[in-house]
Amino acid sequence: MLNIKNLHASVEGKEILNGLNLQVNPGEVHAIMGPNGSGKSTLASVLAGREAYEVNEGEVLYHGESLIELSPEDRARKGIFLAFQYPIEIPGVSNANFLKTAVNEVRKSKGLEALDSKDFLKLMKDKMQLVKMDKSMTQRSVNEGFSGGEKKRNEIFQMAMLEPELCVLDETDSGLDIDALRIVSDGINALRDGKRSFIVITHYQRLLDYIVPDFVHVLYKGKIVKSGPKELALELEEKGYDWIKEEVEI
Amino acid sequence: MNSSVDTLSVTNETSIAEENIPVDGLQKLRLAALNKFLKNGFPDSKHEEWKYLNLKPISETKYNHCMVASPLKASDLEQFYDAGSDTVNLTFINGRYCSEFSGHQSHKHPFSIYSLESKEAELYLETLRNSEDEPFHALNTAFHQGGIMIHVPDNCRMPMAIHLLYVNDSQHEAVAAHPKCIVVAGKNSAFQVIATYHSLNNFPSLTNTVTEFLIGEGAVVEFDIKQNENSNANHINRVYARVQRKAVFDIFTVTMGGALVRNNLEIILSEPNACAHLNGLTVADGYQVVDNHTVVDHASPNCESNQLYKNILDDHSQGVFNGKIFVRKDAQKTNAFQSSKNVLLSNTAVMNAKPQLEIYADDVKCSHGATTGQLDEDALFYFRSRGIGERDARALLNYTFASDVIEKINNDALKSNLLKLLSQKLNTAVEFGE
Repeated sequence: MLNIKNLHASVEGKEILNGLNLQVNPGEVHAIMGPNGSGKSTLASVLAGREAYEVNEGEVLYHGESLIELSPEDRARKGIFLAFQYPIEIPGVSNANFLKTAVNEVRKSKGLEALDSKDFLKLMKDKMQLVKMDKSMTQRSVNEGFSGGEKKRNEIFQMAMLEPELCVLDETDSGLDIDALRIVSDGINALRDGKRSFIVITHYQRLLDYIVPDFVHVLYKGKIVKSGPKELALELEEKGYDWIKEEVEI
Repeated sequence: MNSSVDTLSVTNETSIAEENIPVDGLQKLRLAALNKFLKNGFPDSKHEEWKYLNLKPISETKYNHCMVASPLKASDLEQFYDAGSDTVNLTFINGRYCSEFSGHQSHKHPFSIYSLESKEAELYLETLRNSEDEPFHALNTAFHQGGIMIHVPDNCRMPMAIHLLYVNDSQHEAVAAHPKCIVVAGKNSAFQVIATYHSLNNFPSLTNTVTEFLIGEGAVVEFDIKQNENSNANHINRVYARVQRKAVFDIFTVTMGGALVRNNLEIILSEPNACAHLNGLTVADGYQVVDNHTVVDHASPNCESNQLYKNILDDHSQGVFNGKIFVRKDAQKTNAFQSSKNVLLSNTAVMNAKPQLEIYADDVKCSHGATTGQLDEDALFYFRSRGIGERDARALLNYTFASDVIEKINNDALKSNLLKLLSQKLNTAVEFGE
């Protein structure tokens, strides 16, 4: 589904990713861990197509097609979803209107009819339950005045509404208390259907107790320096990153 | 007024002597104002209050200032009924109130209309007299003809809105219209006045309009202004309001059309616990210049004022916000806030924002802020990352930024009319909203 080969990317002239390789197949969950500044959020931004990030070398293939030249909206329409680390507040646009526009844009790109209000409301009601979202949250402006937990829940709610194929979760666990973490994780797990793939970027093993990954990768200095099964996360939690850094430096 | 004055390119020596003309009260005011204007002429850009507005398009155009007759029929006006059906439409054509095109469908309304030449109006012409140093105001005083005074009685809470419908018909020659309307809100009255300005022109037009309010004790009045004239129309708009004890005055100025538009608002919070909210939205493109000048005078204690002015400027358009707040010595416990928020959509659009606070009391809360920038790139990326195209995302974000002002207007028909206009002006292709 996603094949990243020798990816070099920079922001403001500074190279952050430097030769990253990653292959994600349908239905897989890949956790990306790594010390601060290793390039985790850059990877998320490059995948979603943020313009400030420049790809200098390498390839990002999605279903065999290069993503690099595609606009963020075209990537979203092709099924890539980024759950933001810091969701943006948009005063004056209700969550419901925002999502209706987005859902119908995605549908349009697939040659499907736009949903009418009734069908849209029904869809929204179904998906709201996934993240235990209150109806009032859909009428409020997008993320405006939401708590940290509400914002993250809203990201997962949007994800559920847009039904992407590849979900990139950028530190979705940051700023969540235990209860909110459980709700958000349950929402994400409910969207695991054997075909949809996930890239879960996190600092903490804790999240991976709830969302159990197929693979754990360690990103360090812009490269994946170690990959392993889910147990690798536990090892990192226990020992920190120093032993990996040492391995790399040798 | 004497029709020999057909151009206003005047010299300092020009003046008209009072003793040559028989004068009554109104006539006296006119002469004084005209002489004041003739003495000072049009201000140039060296004048602090007119720094960003080049008045040449007005001073160099020969307008007919003298109440040009218009052949318009009632059916020509229907397109301008923007404020819904439960409205008393009061129509002004080329500055003159036309009773034949005015009224409510039920033929009944609870307020009175007087000519400005009537005895009833005389008192208010004097008491609301204000800064005729301002050149266009002086011109209006000199030239207004067929203006009216609206008197809403005490305790009258009126569900129907009063719609002042101004049409400038310059289909046959360049016309300057100088309409004037005085609104007197009785004690504890509550109502809404809507002013919309329209131009039907092949020739240039100038609308130089004055609306004066006396808001009585405990009254609540909303005044909405919609300016959507075409690019051949220049517009100078003066609103003066004196807000008395515990009264509330809310004003919305929405400018989308016109070539050169100047809005002068002067609000005096003259008695304790008076309150004023000033809201402005300008959406300009091409070579439009829109200049909002506000003066809020806190003359009494415990009063509150809040100003929010937004501009979206594209192409070579220019916006000005000049907001002055006075807090007089006795006006303790004043709350006065002001905010100017602006988005530039092109590299050639210009915004000048200038807040001015003059505070003479010591126990007050005042704040002002001005921001001018491009569209929020993070918000844009957020929209796009959810599949909404760049063009639509930009239009929607601009629409949201602007609609926020319109949403607060208390008239559904006008609101949806303005939102539609906004979406056309911003090319919002995706239908957004309910």
